[in-house]
Formats: sequence, C-alpha cells, structure tokens
Amino acid sequence: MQYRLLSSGGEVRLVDDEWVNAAITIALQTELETGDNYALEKLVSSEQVLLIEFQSVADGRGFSSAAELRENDGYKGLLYACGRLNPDQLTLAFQCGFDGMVVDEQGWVSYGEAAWQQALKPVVDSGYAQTRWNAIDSIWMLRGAAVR
Amino acid sequence: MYQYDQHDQKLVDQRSQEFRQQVSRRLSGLISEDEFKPLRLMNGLYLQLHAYMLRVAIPYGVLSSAQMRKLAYIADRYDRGYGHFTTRQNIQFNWPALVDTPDILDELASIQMHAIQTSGNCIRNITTDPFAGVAADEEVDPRPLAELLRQWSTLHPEFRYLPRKFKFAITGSANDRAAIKVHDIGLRLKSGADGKVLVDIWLGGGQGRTPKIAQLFRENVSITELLPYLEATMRVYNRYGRRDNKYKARIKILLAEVGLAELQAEVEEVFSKIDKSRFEPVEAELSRLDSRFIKPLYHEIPEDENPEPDEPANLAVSLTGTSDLNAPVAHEYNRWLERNVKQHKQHGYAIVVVSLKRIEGIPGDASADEMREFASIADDYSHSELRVTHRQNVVLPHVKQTDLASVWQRLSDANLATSNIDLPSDIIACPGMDYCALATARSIPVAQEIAAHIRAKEKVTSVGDLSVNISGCINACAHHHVANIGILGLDRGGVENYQITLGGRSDENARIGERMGRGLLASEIAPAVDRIIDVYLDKRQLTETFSDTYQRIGKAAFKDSIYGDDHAIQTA
Repeated sequence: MQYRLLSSGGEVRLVDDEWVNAAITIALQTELETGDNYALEKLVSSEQVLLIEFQSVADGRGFSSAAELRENDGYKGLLYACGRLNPDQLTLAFQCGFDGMVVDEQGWVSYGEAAWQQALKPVVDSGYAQTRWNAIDSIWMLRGAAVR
Repeated sequence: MYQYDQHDQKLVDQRSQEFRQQVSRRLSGLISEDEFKPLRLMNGLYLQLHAYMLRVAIPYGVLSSAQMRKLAYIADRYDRGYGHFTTRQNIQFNWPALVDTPDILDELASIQMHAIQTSGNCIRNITTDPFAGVAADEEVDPRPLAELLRQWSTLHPEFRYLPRKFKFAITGSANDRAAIKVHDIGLRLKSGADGKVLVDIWLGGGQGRTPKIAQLFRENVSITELLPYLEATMRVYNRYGRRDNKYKARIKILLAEVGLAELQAEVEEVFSKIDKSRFEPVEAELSRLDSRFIKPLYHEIPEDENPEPDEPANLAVSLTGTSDLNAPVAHEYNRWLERNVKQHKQHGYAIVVVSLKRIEGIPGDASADEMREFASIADDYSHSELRVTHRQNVVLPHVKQTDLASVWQRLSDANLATSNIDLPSDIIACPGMDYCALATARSIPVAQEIAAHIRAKEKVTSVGDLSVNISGCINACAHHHVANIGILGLDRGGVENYQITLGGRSDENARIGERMGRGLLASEIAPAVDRIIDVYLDKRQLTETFSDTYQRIGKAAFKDSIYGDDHAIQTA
C-alpha cells in the first residue's frame, strides 16, 4: 500500500508499508496514568520516526499528545500524524508539533488532491496563542513586536 | 470596552470568508449535509426542529449600542424580527436561511462580533458577571482576563477537538453572579495582599444529566501562571477525557472517575514541564487589555453630595399632576427602583437591569425594535454600553442616579419596565420543544403560565429573590438543577411530564436541587409552584431566602404541598 507523506514546506512524498512499519506508532492511552506513557527514555533520543494515530476526525487526543511529547518530554525527532484526519486539520497538526501527516490512499482520494494541496499552503494567520512550533508568529507575538 | 485591532478584525474576516466558501460548496451539492455539519458547527450554525439556528457569541456579555443595533438589523433582515438571549451570554437567531448565513457573519464581523466556537467540542464563549467593572461589591474586574481567555481559546490548535464542549466562567466578586461552580472551569479572581491578582480555579462543575458542583482545584494561582496552568489542564482533559460515551465526556466525569488528587497530580506534572517562555507575550497583552477596559468618563459627583433617584412622588407629579405616592405610576416606579436597580461602584451611578420576562412574553426574547430601543437608551444614558446576563436579561451598566426616572420612563413607554428582577417570574427558560431539536417538552408556554400565575403574589407579598428555571430536556440549558425551584420537562409516552427539584442555587454557595417525586402534567405545574412558594412564605423566618428555609425545614413540607391529598394530583 502506498501513502503520501505531507510535510511542512509543502512537500508531498510517496512512502510505502515498509516505511510505515519501520516507524513507531504510538498507541494513545485511554486511561489516565501518571508516569512514563511512551517508554520515552528509549524514544526521546531515538532516530526512529514516531507516528501518532488519530482514530477519527473528532478525536483530537493526538494534538495534545504531540504537544506533550514535544514540550513536556522533549522529543526532537520526526513526528507524524496518521489515521483519520482531514485537510483542515493539517494546520493544527503543524501547530501542535507534528512534522506532517501520513495520508493513505483512501484519505487522499476522498478529500481530493486539491484540498490537500490547499491545506499545505502556509497558514496566513495562526490565532492568538503561541505554540512552540509555529513557523508564523501568533497575534500576541506580532502585537509584542509592534510595541517593541 | 474592548475594541478590535487589525489582528482581531483579520481573524474574524478570514473566518467569515472561509465559511462563505463552505456554504457555497454545500449549496452547490459538492459536499453532503454530513460533511457540512462539522464545518457549520465550527461557526455556531445548528440545524433545529424547523430551521437553521445561528448562535452568536457576546463575549463576556458586553455589547456596544452599535452592536445591539446590528443584532436588531440582523433580526429584521435575516430572521423574523427577534432574537433569543441565552443563559451563556449568547444570542440565537432561530430562522436564518442557509444561503444568508455568510452575509450574517459578514455583518457581525463589521461590528467586531462572530459565532466562532459557539458550538462543537471546543472552548465556548467565556462568560462572566454581567455587572463586571461596575458592581459595588467587586474585588477584581474580570473583563481583561475574560478577553485574554477569549483570545487564547479562539482557534487554539490543540483544543479544537476536545472530548466534549468546555465552558469557562469568571467572577471577580465574592457574590457570584456568573454561576462559576456549575461550569467546567470557574475562575474566582481575588485581590492578593500585595495588590496582585490571584485566581482560584474551580473545576468539574456542570449540569446536564449528571449535575455536579465544581471542586476547588488550585488556589491562588498568579496571573502569569494562569494560562500555562489552564493549558496543562486542557491538555490532560483532551488526552484522558472519555470519548467512548458523549454523556460521560465532560471533565466533571473525568474528575469523578480518577479523583481530585490524581487529576491534580497529573495536571501539576504537565504544568511543571510546560515551557513558560511561550507565555511571555501574555503579560504585555494583559496590560494592553487593562488599558482597554478603563472606566468610562463618569460625571464626578462629590462624595458629600447624595444624588438620589427622583422620588416616586415627584415622578407622579410630573406625569400625572398628582403627588399621591399611591398613584399607580409612583407605585410602579418604586417597585422598579427596588427590583431592577443595583448598586454601582461609582458614587452617584446605578446599574439598571431590564427584564426580558414580560407577562406573556418569551423569556429572553427581544424584538428588533426593542433591541434598537436598548441601543438608543444606552446612547442617551449608559455610555453606549449594554450587557446581557445569564438570567437572560439586559443591563444598562452606567446610569446616573439622577437619570433613573427618565430611563424608567423610556423603558416603560417601550413595555420594558417589568419590575421583576430575581423574583419568581424572572424565569430562565430554554427554547424547549417550540424550537429545539433536543427538547423533550415545551418550556416557553409553561414559563408563561407560571409567570401569569405568580405575578399577583409577587405584587402583594414580599416574596423577594427566588429563582424558577425551566429546561425542556435533560441537557439543562436553563440551569434547572441550580434553581430554587427547578423544572425539567420530559416525555413520558408522548405526554409532557415535568419534574420538580427544590433548593438548588447557582451562587457562591451553589447546590444541586433535590428531586421531589413523580412528574406533573403541564397544567399542574403553575399551581404547584404557587403552593411551593406559599410554603416558603409561611415557614420562612425573618430574612431567610428560599434556600435557607429549604435547608432548615427539609423537603417534607414542600413535597406535601406538591402531592398532598388536598390537591388530588392526576399524574401521567
């Protein structure tokens, strides 16, 4: 099976099962447990690609998981969203710390290439609150810069 | 009040343009209703029983006269000439055509309003004390923080697909008029010893089918730590809130299931690792916002001068030529002063609450003409500012005491001087089965009947503050759980059936009301409410409120009054 790997900067690359299998897919916890949810001591320094799977368009857990991996756990490697996501959510994924999204054939076809290409265009406006990984300054940053 | 800058404006303009494209894709059949649904819900557009309904945010309940005029224009041009003010300081238009909704959003954007995040599983409109910035008992003005939270939560990328909707309320006063303890998160702002603002975070309150009073989650959070702390809390909720059952998805259920200590520990853990430097711009933003909420240019009245509202007798003279204090006009004005006028922090000023609970009216509804009259009175007497309250009324926040008679006269001429604020006939009611797709019973006609039934009693007795709230389904939009007398309309085999709860309250001592017993028919409700009030009037001591009396004597006497033999209740 082939997948499209959509990355910030607008790149679309074809990858196959082998690539996906080589990456580590993180299963999201459903129970609240304190402690080391992702066996991070192994992952944080790993060279491997991490994938976070979204089980439905309405299930936004992965956005917080990504933010937590990046911000709380200090993960600096490659991190991609996969599963049931729509083009509108690509921007959110970038803003929450993902490097991009893995889209399967079905997702690619059902929303159409045009919608995905449109979603890859740089975000003009990123809202108010600064997330750490925005390429574009948030409104609060812009206001602060204007004062200085 | 807050004025948009270019960034705020650009954001709402872009959203409006985006929505226009989405609607056009729907109208041309490119996307199905199923595909359109999540898109419209991001913009407050619901599909109701008979038509689309557009819910417009009134952030923290503050409106300029220009905004109120625009709402009137929208009601006339795109709806049927009225709008419905809700318990979450929003306004709903019940009859817009889909094809018109992009134009409505453009109209709203032109006066710095929007419908962003008024539906969907995201952070909803931030609500607060309708007397924010003017209440005599206020410690900290909550409006700058409310605006900060509005901005922070608007389009926040991490929190657009939460397990369920999420509601914040803020108060800066010990007397909670924002019902913070029945919100997902309630914030109580306090003035610390060194004059710095401290925040108590109450978490896990809510109503619906599992009513809960919030628990104190973290005390004395500094303003600089507040946003990272809230972000940590939302992050934990987003990851661990239940998604398998939408009735168990609110944060109150997560709190109940994992327990206070464990949830606190998890949030602390996430909070401790959040990069606080991300929030550096917040301080500058807050001071910018502080400067946007300066007090209006009040007419300074020396402390030793005591301007009083015009005497009822004087008003009677000017209107009728008689100085008789018992003249109906004097009597009416006096009652209005007593019920609808509240104490202002500025010497010589008053807060005027305008009741949207007229006899035979629909609770919370205002016609376009009435909205224009509000705007006009606000321009003439209230620094062009208005508020909407969670009790579905309208506030003129800055009225000179010496103008009160003129304001009353204007309101009276427009049939807007109903003097029943916080009385039993000041009923909170949801739209119910007359409009709402979720409703299981009607609310509006029952509210009207109760009001008609108890108005006479209000006039001849000093019943005082007593809340009656009616919800038309278990979702409890009308806050029936926290009413002194709560009424819940259900469907029992095709017959509307109404359950009564007593002793609830939504203030700083919030409690969930106790259910009395089997439900009543619609026709039995108004007489039952009447008898419940009789028990209170009979048993109360001195200045006891309804809740006080209820706590002291318990439910038996009240229950008897509802179901006792004398009343031969026929139940469904």
